[in-house]
Amino acid sequence: MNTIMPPLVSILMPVFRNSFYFQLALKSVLLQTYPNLEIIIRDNTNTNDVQHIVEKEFLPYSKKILYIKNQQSVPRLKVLQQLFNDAKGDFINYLLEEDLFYPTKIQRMMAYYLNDTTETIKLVTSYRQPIDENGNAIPDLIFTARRHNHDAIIDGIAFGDSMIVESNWVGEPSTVLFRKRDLIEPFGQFGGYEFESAYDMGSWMTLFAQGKGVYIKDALSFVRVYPQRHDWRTRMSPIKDWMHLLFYSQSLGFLRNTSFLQKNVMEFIQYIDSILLDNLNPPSPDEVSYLLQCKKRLAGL
Amino acid sequence: MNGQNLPLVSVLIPTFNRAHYFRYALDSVLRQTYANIEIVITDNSTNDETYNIVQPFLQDYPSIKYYRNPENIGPVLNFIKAYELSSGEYINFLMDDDMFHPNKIEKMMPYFINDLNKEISLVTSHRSFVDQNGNLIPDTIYNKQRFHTVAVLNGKQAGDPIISEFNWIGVPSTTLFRREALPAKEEFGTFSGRMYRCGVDCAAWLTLLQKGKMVYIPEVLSYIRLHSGGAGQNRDPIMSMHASLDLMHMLFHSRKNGYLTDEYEFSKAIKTIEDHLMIMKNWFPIDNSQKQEITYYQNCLNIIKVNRDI
Repeated sequence: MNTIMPPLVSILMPVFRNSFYFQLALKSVLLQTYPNLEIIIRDNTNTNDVQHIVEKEFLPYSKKILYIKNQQSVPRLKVLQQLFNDAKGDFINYLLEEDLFYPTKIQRMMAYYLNDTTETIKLVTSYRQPIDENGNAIPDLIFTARRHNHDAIIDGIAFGDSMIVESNWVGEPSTVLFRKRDLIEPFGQFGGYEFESAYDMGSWMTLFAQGKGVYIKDALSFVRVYPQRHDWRTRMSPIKDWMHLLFYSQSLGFLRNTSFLQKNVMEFIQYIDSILLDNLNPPSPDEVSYLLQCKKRLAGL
Repeated sequence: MNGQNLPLVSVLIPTFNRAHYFRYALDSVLRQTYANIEIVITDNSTNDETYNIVQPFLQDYPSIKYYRNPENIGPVLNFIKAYELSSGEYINFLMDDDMFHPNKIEKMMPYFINDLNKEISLVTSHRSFVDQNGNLIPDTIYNKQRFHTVAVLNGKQAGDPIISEFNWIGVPSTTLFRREALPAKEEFGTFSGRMYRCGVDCAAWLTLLQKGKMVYIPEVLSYIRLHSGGAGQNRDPIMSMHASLDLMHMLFHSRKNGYLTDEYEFSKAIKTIEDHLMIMKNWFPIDNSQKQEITYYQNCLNIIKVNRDI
């Protein structure tokens, strides 16, 4: 048996909704084969249900779990940032309540960091198996489709470009393992701007700007695809995020490939038009003027 | 035998509201022919019956240590409490409804006493099932004699079948083990850093077998009570869910701890757990969230079958 403990990895679990999925997510952490984990739970719900379950079913049987109750609910991104500050580990992996880890996830991802003596790897992700609301495996969606048939170490700029242009196939917060000190801005922030909905992409960009990313071809987590997942998002929230992503990332050397850039701009304009032309649910006058202003800036690219 | 020269054996009886059977269990320890035994009772009961039974014995037997829990702390933590309160070099749990053969400890201890290099971690034996009235029940596949003569097995030989078949080594009452072989940081009932919720015995045996060998004695040295249904038929959904998580943990942590390195045994273990999950999903009274948990385990098995990434 190995007597030297590898670095501590913090598994950060926000709870926003209910205990139904959360308990199973927690069990998927308890199965992890990586030997040095801490589990931090931030309960942002306004009932005592989750607290009751954790105190009765989990805390007496594990010294690795730290449970914190937010006395008052705070915004979603704030909870993720609180958890980041709670973490004592050298590495971070969020786990949203609806997602699940495969038992070897952390061990297999950490192997890349442990072998990377020059510390050029800044992000490790993997293929993830989509599941439905009942937990059954379902066919891939565009953003989950397997990108490589072998494990790949990819340059950060290329990785970031592909994510911006082709959808967030890098992963949700649950998918990615990163080194704590590499996240030089608060979670969800990139270039001083705090993302409104695509905050995982914001942080992945912060990491890609500093080095390489790894894509592992095997399923190391399960992402739950179900209608309520993005309830908290509005159709306007991606716009500001997208604008910032496009303009700021260019200043860091991303999106130098003009055909990539044009493809992205076109898709972005289509999304804006779909809101402008939505007769059933028309945008407010303020929203219209903001959207038109965005289109104008995009035309200059 | 002169008790002064023999190593101390702790017999640990965690108990919960089962005064009637507990009396027989305690009696079977007091009748042991081995001379240096301490008895540690941790009582989780919510009534006074066990307490009242124990009182007169405490006067006559200073070797009995009795602890009453102020509240029910659940079976797993009650096990650990008894273990922590004991001081013997050798440990034998006794479930409150099981019984020892009068010579159990005396027949098992020589294997430890003569083992000068401390190669042996645990000693187990053939055991009989008994019904509610203490009548012997014919052997089943779960307890039938595994060897006809005394067998010494290495850790892998003894431990692999726990995962790939079933817990053939026995319930806690069956086994006497060396305290030193359980690492200080691993409490009783933990394997690979996790405390088990149902298979605490499996976890303990797997942890002990990493440190040494096992002796199997073909004589019946303990009596295990079956209350209803056949052997191993436990349809309590909560315990069965705990058992499922324990099995998944055992499988995924097997190879890093030296078990199931053989591909055949590894595949057999996957198949055994698949069958267990299938039976639970189809035949147990489980709710939606429990069904979903089983589905998650099945998804994981589908991946490991292909990737074999442990």
